Amino acid sequence: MQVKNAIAHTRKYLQHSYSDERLLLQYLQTLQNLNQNISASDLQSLENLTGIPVYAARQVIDFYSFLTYEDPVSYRILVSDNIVDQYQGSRELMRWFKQHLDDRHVAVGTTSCIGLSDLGPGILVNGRLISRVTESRRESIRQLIQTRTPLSAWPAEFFQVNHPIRKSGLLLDDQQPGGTALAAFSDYEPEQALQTIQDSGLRGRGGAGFSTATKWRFCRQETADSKVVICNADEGEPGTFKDYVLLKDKINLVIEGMIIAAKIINADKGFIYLRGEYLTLMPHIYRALESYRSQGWLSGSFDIDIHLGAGAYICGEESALIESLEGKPGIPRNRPPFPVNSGYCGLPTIVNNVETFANVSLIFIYGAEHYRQHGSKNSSGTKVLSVSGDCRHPGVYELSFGTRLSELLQMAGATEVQAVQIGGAAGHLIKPEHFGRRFDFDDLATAGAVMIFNQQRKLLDVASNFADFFVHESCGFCTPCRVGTTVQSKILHRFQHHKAAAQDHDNLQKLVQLLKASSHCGLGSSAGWISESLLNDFPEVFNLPDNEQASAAFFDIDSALLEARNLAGHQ
Amino acid sequence: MMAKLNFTLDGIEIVFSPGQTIMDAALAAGHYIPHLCHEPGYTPHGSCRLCLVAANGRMVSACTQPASSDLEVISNHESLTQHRRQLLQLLFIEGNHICPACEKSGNCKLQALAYDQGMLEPGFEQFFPRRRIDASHAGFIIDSDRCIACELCVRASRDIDKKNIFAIHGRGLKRQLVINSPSGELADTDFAATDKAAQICPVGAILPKHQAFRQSIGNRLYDRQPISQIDGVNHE
Repeated sequence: MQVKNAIAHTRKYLQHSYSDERLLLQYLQTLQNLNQNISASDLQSLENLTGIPVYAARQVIDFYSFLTYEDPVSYRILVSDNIVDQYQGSRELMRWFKQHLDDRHVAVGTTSCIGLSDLGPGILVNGRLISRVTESRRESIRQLIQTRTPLSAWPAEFFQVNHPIRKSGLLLDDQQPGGTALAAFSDYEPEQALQTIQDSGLRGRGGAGFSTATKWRFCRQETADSKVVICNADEGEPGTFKDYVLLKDKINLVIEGMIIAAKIINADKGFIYLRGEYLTLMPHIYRALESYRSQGWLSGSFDIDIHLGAGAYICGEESALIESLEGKPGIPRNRPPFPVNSGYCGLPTIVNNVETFANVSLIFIYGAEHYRQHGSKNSSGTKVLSVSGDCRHPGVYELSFGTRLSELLQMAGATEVQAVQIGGAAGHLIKPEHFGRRFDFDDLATAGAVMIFNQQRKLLDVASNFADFFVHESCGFCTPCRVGTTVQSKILHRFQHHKAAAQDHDNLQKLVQLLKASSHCGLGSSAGWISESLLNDFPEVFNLPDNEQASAAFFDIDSALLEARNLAGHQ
Repeated sequence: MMAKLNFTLDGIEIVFSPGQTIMDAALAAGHYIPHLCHEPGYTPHGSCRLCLVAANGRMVSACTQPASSDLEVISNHESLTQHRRQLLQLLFIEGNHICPACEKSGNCKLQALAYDQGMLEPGFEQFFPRRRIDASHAGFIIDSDRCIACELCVRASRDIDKKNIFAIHGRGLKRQLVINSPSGELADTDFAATDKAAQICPVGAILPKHQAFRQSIGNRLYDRQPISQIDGVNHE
């Protein structure tokens, strides 16, 4: 009965028709959110009802972090474990929860960055975000759990996420009522509209900076009965949260950008792929879609469904995202074919970032010429950045392209800065001599995560944390990323604990090159950037002791004896 | 008649037909590009990355990259050999590949490629995993510690045998071979020695029982000839 209801509940909010296979991940998400667990009997019922074999469902569960099998609890607390969260006390918070909620109905663990680095320490309780878990708040949470209070009866303010907007520009300042972009767009023929986007110079905000008009033109040229527009709202990069703000405050611009895209490429299917961490935004986005439906902007000829991710950073990669939308593990596809030619279920598909769609709306509201006046020569418009770490004013900053990093640091009140990580874990660590560099596709190209580290911080802690993130998030498909990310992590941890050997330094250099050259997708090829940054710009962190350790490669007596000690019961 | 399409591989002209990958065309012409997860006639996979080549300067996997007439492909180059050696090292340290104790020695593509590419040592620290062994089946044993996640058995069983017995589950290092049966055991499937999947494993992860040393060490496939000469011959 429960599984039947979960299937009905999942389908109730969807406009397109799907096979059960395509909705497998969504069914599993619904079951997980219902019970904080998926049981063997759930999977058997699912097989009986849909014909999807238990083993096929297990394959999906085993891939996604937020899906758990046969691990029944009433409360699942996941503490965000980005390095910036750790600086705000996340590890201490986790210890506290483990100590004070020693209860078989409660599971406490860590998870990759949940998008609260400016409001840390942040946690997920049964999939719902709670920011700023202070001492008084954690005590309240403990009491609520001990009294078995359902989350629906917890204080509403616990679930409010208010990222501070520190600086706004063209996008965040926009106050036009919903429908303005669509009304302006209605004056254009599709070809003319595409030309307008091209004239605006808009480039994708997901980080790579590909020309939006070019991507859409490729897809427009495809002849197919059905085409697909996907909004990538899977912002999983550690240290980023700006898409949360756009989805919450500027959802009209995002939806209108998607509708414009659909009209240009002639699409009938739309998706917002929302990261599982942002589950609580789902009703808000759904209500916004409903209002566009009631005005006739979304209908049978083009409509948008929300699909939820389930804790897999790799699904931010566009072809992995498409696999996930198809209900499968998010393993990036081989290219060619490219999504514009063959994407979701083989249909021509465009995938763009939340911020890109919002910018498309701005271009039609204000005109390409006005839009171009913001930004720099090859990077028009503004960039919304997520700023966290060691500064007085963490939060969201919207800057014109071309702004220098040093200007941002000044605005954020960051002093005694040792280094700034631009682009999240898959980014580069910038040293003070380079703070004059500019946010621009030709210079510091980024999807928007900026993490600031002062002189008290140990950069090897930062690098080890990012390396661990890649170990956790590698999909494991290709050799270099599956194995190389773990080797990288082990080496960095040895340096962190002063147990490294000369060979580790050489191996790290080799790994960085190997990951870049041979990985299957962008996750693998960027997984070594953090080590590369340290090797090139902060070589002093790798100082090796001048002793016999240099020859004791890999050997750590404590870990070698650990198993024997455990067996013998020695501490 | 259409002009012949060709690209260059290490300076040699290779003729190809539309739809072929670089790997397809090279192997058809009798030119070997190292590979583990690829097998002619199977859906290209691109996971082992051993077939890394530079195509017009861009690093691609030859088994998935469509051939095209403007390509200058470089495969035989010291920097690529170094990358391949490191990829082999990573595969060796990830699993438990103890050649002298492995029944597959001499018939193993991982071992043969390591010799071919001059990989002389593991290079990185061993992981020594402890994964599941499935000896439930009367005729075969599955040793996951030797699996390199190439999915050749998955593809063979699904696409050729039409049995869909194997799958890879999990993420990252936890990626592991599993059996699609209610118990998760091979005995619980209709797996047979005549299946393509029973013969395709390039390493010692799917081993026939009671056959171990019928063929003596030293007289096995890759003992007699390097892999580049055996797997590089024209398959047509």
